[in-house]
Amino acid sequence: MNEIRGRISRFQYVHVVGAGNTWFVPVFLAFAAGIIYLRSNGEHTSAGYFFLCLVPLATGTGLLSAARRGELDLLFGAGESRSRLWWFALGYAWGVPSLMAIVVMWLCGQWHLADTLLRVVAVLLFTGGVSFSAGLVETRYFAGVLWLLSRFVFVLAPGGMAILRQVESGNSLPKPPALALAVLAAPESATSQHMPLSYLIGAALVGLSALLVSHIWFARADLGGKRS
Amino acid sequence: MSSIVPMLELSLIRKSYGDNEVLRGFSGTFSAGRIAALVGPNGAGKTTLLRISAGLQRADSGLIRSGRALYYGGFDLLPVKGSVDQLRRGLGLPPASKGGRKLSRLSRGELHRVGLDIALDLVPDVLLLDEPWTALEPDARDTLNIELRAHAPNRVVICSSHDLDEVARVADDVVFLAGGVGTWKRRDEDAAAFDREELIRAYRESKRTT
Repeated sequence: MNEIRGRISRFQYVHVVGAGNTWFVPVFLAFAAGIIYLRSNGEHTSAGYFFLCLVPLATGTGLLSAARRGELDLLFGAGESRSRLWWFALGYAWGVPSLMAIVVMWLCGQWHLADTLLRVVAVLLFTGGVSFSAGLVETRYFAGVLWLLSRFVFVLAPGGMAILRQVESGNSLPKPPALALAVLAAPESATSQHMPLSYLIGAALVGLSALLVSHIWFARADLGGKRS
Repeated sequence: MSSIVPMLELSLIRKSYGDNEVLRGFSGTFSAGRIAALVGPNGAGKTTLLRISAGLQRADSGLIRSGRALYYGGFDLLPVKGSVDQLRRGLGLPPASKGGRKLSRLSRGELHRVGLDIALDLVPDVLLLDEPWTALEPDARDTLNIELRAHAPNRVVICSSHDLDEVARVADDVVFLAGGVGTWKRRDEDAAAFDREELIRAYRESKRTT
């Protein structure tokens, strides 16, 4: 037996398992090209917020379900640890789309980098953290789709749009329950400079907690192969 | 390079699925240099024991000491997207001959052979194969047995199977798993292989006593 092994390519393996979301790359390129075209014609666009809404969709991997089906057995047998794979998946499925979202919003010129970056990161932690964790299972896009629908419902509801307008203008902010509902149903509203920081911190903590739980969940899961 | 001889030690392993306790304190030490076969009726816990040994499943209680263990459970647990070489590259292995073939286009036997090749090429300390002879043609079975023997000297090899013909031909130790515990049978040092009829008798006996 010869030791002929090179380095494990998690990217390659995740692709073969079908847990990668490469569709997000052409979406990003289309957004970036469209925004650059509009801005070169002197037009402004709020496409960045829409792109931000799509990030939760990109974070679903179904990786835990693949592991339960036994499709990652060989990868673990090759020496890969569950924790390293989880971190890789987080970087691939959440980190890359999040960076893309930041680039798209920067291209849109919708915010001052220093002032709003932390707010955007907090929103991405919230939406990405929750949807990445929920997306480890077979119904990988469920959380992303549900969140997308919740925005439509919130915006179309009589009071929803009014709350968003109040947050955007900063004049007489809605009551705390309404603000919490806005952050929950339409998290991008928290990128407004008028949204109190406590709501952002709370949202980011929820996202981080979801990530912590999903790491423990993935690391300790009973991977029964055919039984699962 | 480590000079430690790989082995797999299992001590008082218990595992239940709801009310069904499939492993009831299984203990055993598997050493490098010997090929062990895990034999038992359907539902006896063979797959569960192998997956626990590989760290894929969690035992309810018990202790496991093992080197890098690899479990391969057959072609139906392999990913089916991409090509053979893409799967191999993902695991850090060099391309195979005819490696450009799509995994989804391979027959069961071909896919199984791809999986077995990968399992062997990854050279784990502990190689755990679940039904390795299934779906293989006779020549491929012979080839696999030769490869297992070549793999065994410095590594632990355990195969679970219902195929007592192959078990008799290749195994040095047979563990009869029934009732959640194992009964061991070692091949006589001067015998080239187990006697198949003797294995069948021992198998039936292990079922009767549980």
